[in-house]
Amino acid sequence: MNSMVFGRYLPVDSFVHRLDPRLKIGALLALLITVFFDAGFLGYALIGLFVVVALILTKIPAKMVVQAVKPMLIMLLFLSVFNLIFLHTGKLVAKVGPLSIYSGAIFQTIYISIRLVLIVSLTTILTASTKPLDMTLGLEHLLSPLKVIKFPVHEVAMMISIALRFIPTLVEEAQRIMKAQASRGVDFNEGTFKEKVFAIVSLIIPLFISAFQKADDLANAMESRNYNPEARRTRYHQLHWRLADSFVLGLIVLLCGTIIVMSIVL
Amino acid sequence: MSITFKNVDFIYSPDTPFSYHALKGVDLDIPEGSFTALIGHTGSGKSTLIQHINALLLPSSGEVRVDDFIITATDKPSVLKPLRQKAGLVFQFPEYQLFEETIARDIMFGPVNFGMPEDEARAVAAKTLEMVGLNDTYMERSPFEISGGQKRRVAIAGILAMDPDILVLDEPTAGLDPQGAKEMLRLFKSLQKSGKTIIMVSHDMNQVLEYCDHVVVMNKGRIERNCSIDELFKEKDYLSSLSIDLPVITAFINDLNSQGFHLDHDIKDIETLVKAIGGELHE
Amino acid sequence: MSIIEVNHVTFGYEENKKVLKDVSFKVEKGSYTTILGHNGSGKSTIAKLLIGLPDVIDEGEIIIGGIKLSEKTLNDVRLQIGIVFQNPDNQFIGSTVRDDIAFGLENLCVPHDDMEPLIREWAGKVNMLDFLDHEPTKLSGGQKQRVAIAGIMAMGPDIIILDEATSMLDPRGRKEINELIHQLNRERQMTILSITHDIEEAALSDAVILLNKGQIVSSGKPEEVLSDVKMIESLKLDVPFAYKVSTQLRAMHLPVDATINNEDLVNTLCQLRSKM
Repeated sequence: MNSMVFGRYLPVDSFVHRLDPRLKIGALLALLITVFFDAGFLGYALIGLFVVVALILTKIPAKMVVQAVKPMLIMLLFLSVFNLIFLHTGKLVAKVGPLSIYSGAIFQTIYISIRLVLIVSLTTILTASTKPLDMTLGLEHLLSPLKVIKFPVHEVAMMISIALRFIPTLVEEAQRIMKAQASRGVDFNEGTFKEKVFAIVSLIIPLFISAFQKADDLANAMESRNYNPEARRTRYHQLHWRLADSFVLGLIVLLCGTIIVMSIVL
Repeated sequence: MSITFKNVDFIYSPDTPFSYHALKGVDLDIPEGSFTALIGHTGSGKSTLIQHINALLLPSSGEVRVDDFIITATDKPSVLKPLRQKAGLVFQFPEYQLFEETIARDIMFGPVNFGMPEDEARAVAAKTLEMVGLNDTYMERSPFEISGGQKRRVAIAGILAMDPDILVLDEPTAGLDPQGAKEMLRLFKSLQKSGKTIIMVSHDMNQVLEYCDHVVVMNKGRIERNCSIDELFKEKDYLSSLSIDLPVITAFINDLNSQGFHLDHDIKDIETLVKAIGGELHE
Repeated sequence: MSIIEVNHVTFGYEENKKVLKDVSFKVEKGSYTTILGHNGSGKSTIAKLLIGLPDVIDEGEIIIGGIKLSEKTLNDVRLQIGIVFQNPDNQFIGSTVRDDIAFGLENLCVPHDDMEPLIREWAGKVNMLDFLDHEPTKLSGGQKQRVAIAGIMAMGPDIIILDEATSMLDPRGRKEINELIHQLNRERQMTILSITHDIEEAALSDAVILLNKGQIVSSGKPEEVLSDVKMIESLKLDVPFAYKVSTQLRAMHLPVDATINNEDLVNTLCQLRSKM
């Protein structure tokens, strides 16, 4: 029951929801890297178009995208101001008092904004369309080659899936503790620096104690149901690569390839 | 210290796909000095309702009045901070809010936050610790090395030390053994007798019958009953539709009366019950 | 035949601080047995030891279904026992109901194609078939405990241990779980060992074990154990309602037998009345 939207799974059925998580994780990684290749506005327009189509196909409401981007606005504003003041490349565009604003700074700021919005949107598409468990399963498959170098792929995947399972529970717990302390006169919003430190301590200590308690209980519950990290286990969830996945894979390879080629040629 | 809800609605995460309408058109008056039970199922809106009493949540629409405080959707939380001292809220499993190095410091935490000088707060802490049945050897001990039941007492003392006029308790005896629960309830009853208003969320109808005088029933975000204890326990069918069990003694009286006895439905204790049964059988 | 045998078990998490002292008891196969004790009496420690958490005890032995519990036999013992813990949230391992029931099956290496029918069967038996894809945060405490029971039952144990499994639930949840457990006890001859401080639940069970400060102070049929008023009160527990009423009526020289069962008392009183 929290208002955080970024990173949440959106429980609807869509084309993107049905895609293989391995594909979606791989695609996100490839696209995130591609976003940092400077292929000019045309390049960003291409990725932008792709993102918009993907958002629509994922059935993510526009409102949710806006809410996901919102927390980034402050960072964006800060970066923009910083850029406009200190970046002195390109032509001198305007002089406001002691400040000189250059064209390079304006372009740089716009680029950064576009990149940030694209990154947030892409990540939202992945998290909104992929159940945490499928995400873990996808990661486990993608990382399975590392088993050769004795990397504990299965254990790490189990850790991630349990962490994901307990994030909402711990968020709830944190809210509960904050409310309990607020009832004892703690003000989490206002107050001096010292008061704020105290407020945070009054949240963190109980939260840690509760998290350890949960971990202890969970370990007991897992062991009592015969869990042994070293033993062989069968898997209930199986991934199925479909024709649509191959098609989307092709499309993404094409898109990323185009952008990278464009950035080198241009 | 009267508490009044006027047409209060509350929606969690409004305008998102996760929005949830928790309170719907709540109108409510809680009499000053009463021991009011708040009952209803998980998700019925009880927790949301009680968090309005000390302004942890602000109504989405409508208004809540607690004494001179008027709480509406547009109030700033900081304006309402003094209300939190007047209306003390004890959450479910409050032992999870303990964090200080010593029990004394943890109990002092609330009073000091509301501006009480440290030495005065320490004296108050010693007094409240005694009220919850722990002697002063506990003052300098760590709250993390005592038993679960004792932690509960310390956490409740932390709220009592603020000397609130209204005490709101969310299932204060859940998980306590019967004896411990009885001691806690007797403490709350004595606080009511000293003039405080007590509101208690409870699932145990035996407790409600024995200690409360007034009851509010919530279901699906609405107030469905707001009446005296005796009136509520007459509504057998309504309660069973909410799968709320009658108090053991009331169910027992009903069983006997349905087979020819004429016992008073309002009997609350075993001694009176035994006398009444004896009376009928000796006739 | 006893399915659980605990012989002279002494155990402590720390040296010199024994939580259990020379505890011995037996649980009959197919019975509903309750262990009663107040908080801190050591009753939860017994529950954990029975499933080998931890698998080393200071003294004595635990025998489950004829197998002596040790590090080597741990898996075989755990196959026979399922345990439902107190906190519904902290034992929900999967991200959804489906995944949580599957978790135990995965550990038993059940082939993939056999899992789905088992999951559906047990989700159906605990009335959670409509919630298969629900996340734990969207379920009530009672629903989560039902999922825990389905997850255990799918693994095919003979014994279920309830470690205060209903103490954090609301009345509806408590009723659901109690009914489900009684049904499993009746229809599938599951052995139930319930750890509780609910005296009325103990009154309805086949056998009661009373625990105080890590020692068994009394055990036997509920009507014998629970009618020892001095003992019950000294353990900070409540005497059953029917027992209080029936003994006080006897004190008034009414011909009423002491009982711990409300229904019996109602019947006796109504018969008395009709004779008048």
